[in-house]
Amino acid sequence: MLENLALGFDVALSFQNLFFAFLGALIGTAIGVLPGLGPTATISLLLPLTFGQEPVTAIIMLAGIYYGAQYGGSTTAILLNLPGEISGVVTAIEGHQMAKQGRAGAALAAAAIGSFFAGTVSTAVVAAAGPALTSVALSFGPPEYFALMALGLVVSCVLAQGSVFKAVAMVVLGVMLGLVGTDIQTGQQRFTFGVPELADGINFVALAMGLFGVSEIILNLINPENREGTVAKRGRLWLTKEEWRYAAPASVRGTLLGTILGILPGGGASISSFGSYMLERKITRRPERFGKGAIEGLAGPESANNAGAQSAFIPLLTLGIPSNSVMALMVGALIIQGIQPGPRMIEAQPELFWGLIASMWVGNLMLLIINLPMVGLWVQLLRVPYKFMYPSILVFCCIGAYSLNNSVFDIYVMIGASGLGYVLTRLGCETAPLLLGFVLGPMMEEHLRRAMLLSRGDWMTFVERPISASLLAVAAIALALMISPSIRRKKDQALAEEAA
Amino acid sequence: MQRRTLLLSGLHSGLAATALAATGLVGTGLARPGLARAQAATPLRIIVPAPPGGPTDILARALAERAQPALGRPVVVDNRAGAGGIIGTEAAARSAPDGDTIVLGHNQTHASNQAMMARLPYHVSESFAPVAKLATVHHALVVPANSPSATLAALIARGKQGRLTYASSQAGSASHVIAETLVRREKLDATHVPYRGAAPAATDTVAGIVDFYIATFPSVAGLVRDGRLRALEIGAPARLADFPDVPTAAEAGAPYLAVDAWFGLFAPAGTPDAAIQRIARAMLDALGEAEVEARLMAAGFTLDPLLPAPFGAFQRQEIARWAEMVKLTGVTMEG
Repeated sequence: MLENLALGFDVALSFQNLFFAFLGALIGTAIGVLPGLGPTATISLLLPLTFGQEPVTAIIMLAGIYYGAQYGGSTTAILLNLPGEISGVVTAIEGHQMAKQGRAGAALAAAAIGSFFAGTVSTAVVAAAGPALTSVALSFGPPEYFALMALGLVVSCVLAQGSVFKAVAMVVLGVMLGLVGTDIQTGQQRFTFGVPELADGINFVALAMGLFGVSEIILNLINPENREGTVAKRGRLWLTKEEWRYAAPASVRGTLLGTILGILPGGGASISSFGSYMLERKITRRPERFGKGAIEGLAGPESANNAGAQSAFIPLLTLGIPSNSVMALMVGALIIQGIQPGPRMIEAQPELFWGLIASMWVGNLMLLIINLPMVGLWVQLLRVPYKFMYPSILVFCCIGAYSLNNSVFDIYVMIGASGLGYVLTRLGCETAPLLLGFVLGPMMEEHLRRAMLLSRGDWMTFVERPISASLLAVAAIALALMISPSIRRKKDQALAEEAA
Repeated sequence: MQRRTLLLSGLHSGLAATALAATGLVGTGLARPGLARAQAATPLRIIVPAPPGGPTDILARALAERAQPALGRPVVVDNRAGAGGIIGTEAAARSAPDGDTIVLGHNQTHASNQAMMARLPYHVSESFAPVAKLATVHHALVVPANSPSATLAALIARGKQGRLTYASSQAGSASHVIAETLVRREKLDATHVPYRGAAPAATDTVAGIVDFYIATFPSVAGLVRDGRLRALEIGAPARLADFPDVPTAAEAGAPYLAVDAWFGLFAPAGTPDAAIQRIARAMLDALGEAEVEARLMAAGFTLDPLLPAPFGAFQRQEIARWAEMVKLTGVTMEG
């Protein structure tokens, strides 16, 4: 393995490849920072440029854009409460609270360092165990995915700061919004009201931007104190000793979780940051800090997300099967170069396989180098007077929403979602569980129905398979804990004592 | 309304690029040389009714760049994904027939949808004028590597005795209809398990979760080569040089499985014939360039250039053939 990694670094550290890794990471960061503009659109735009490049250079640059965008998205989520993707929703929960308290610098630094640490570890995992881990991914069939999603939904109620009842209501509302679109089994249109744009469902990014970012602007404009809070406070840029103490172990836990979940091609990476956040809330000794800027609730999910983004390469590199739309574009880029990704690629194109793995680490290092000095600059951005800030945010949100499908419809979705987000916030309902329900609900339904089709309607399929059975057992225990009144009372007592 | 749409569509294609440039992070070195020169002419817009990265997108982008000089104007690719291609195709049908808009359609958007969807917002042939057929892709029947069936005949025998399951890339797709044709013709007991795209369907076939899957061959070629999937037949006229062990559909005893996916350009009905001929010639010339050909072959396409008139005749045959298959299988989609 060391020999292989040496070959990889030999490839990745060539001047040309270093340059394109840097360029990719830089472009990725830039588009990640702009709300709504995702890596998919950028990579498809830049794809023709890669035709003339060496295959390894092309893929290194595209990979750089991919994880650059992962990182850049956190910046906007922290500073402006504007998540551009699923993981950003979690980042925004604690990260934006930290920014409001003048700890934006620390939040950005923790995100950068956490991401780098996670990238380093999961790159090593991909290098050491990538091919072997493929069988893990393949052992996850529809029943296992269903059980995983069910567990995710049950535990997602932990995301709520306040009333469990309201959290459950938000998850259910999210699931209902997620059901809009074409039924995959029959092709029937559900709740589309004859609008063709709804045939593929409500767009997640448009919904998230509206619920979080735009409704935040409405709230800020109504309540001037809020906006003063965002702008005026500026603390130390670096992390304090105490923040390190909380962030570092959270980062390690997040990395482990993200690496494992990222291997699963069916949306595993998207729930890794949610999962990490839930974990941190569950095991923390200071739950009262959560929702008010707990750094461990930021560092954990950031690490989990980045680790997941790296290990998502495993199914791509070993099976040639893309696990998301960005990966699909990379397969396209390789195929155009005449390279068919798959197990044989490791033997047939060792310099490509190991060069990419080494470049992942190099790319993560570059992200750290690009972003740490920028922390100060980004924080300065918060000093821009709000009257200039919010119109530009709105413009970028509209551009971003439009560019999702090149359709004005998604801008309307975003506007509708911002109204919904405002009302929900006023009612004291949190929007994060809604988004989790929106993402997990339809996936859960899809896998449930597929599992039932395959088992010919036999529900035992979920219990007979060990992985699915144990995941469902954990979900059942979590559910019991949540609704059992005696345990709840004890928990409340414990909280009260701690607070006192 | 019409003008506003055109204005916006012209706006957005450069949008991401503009946004990149606005951040000041992308140097001018990346800008393509042809861009500045061609600014005066109205661009030709190719609507791709699919998200970036798929086969239609690869095809459109490979041609767009090369057809530019011959047409003397820029060619922009406009991704209008959604509803299995219907949104983009409908947008093309509603565009002005002035020779500035064409759409890259395929066997679904411009043939099978007519029979399958009662409420299709356009007519697959009456709303369009054929421009050029570009390429085809073969379908193949694949089974997991550890499948007990070594041949198509063995799989059919198994399906008559016991229950089989088959994956499809999407309900109502060619993958679904062709497999269901096999099921109906051979009277198999098989359950359809639809997926959300070719990648998850291939994954579950590799994992042995389903018994068989009819896929576009390029999407599974790598897995077949690496022995993770076994192809029991390919719907090609002759065996492929790279896969001499895979029998053709006819050799495997099921010639009716030789149904190809195809890709071609269409203009809105009423587009002047002169404009259509000019675009067709430029696109087919670009398609014939050695570099483009090599790139598209690598992506798994079989080039099949046809001029407007023969392409129109081909489309009529295909509409009839798919109508027959849809009638046999009873697969329908709500529009």
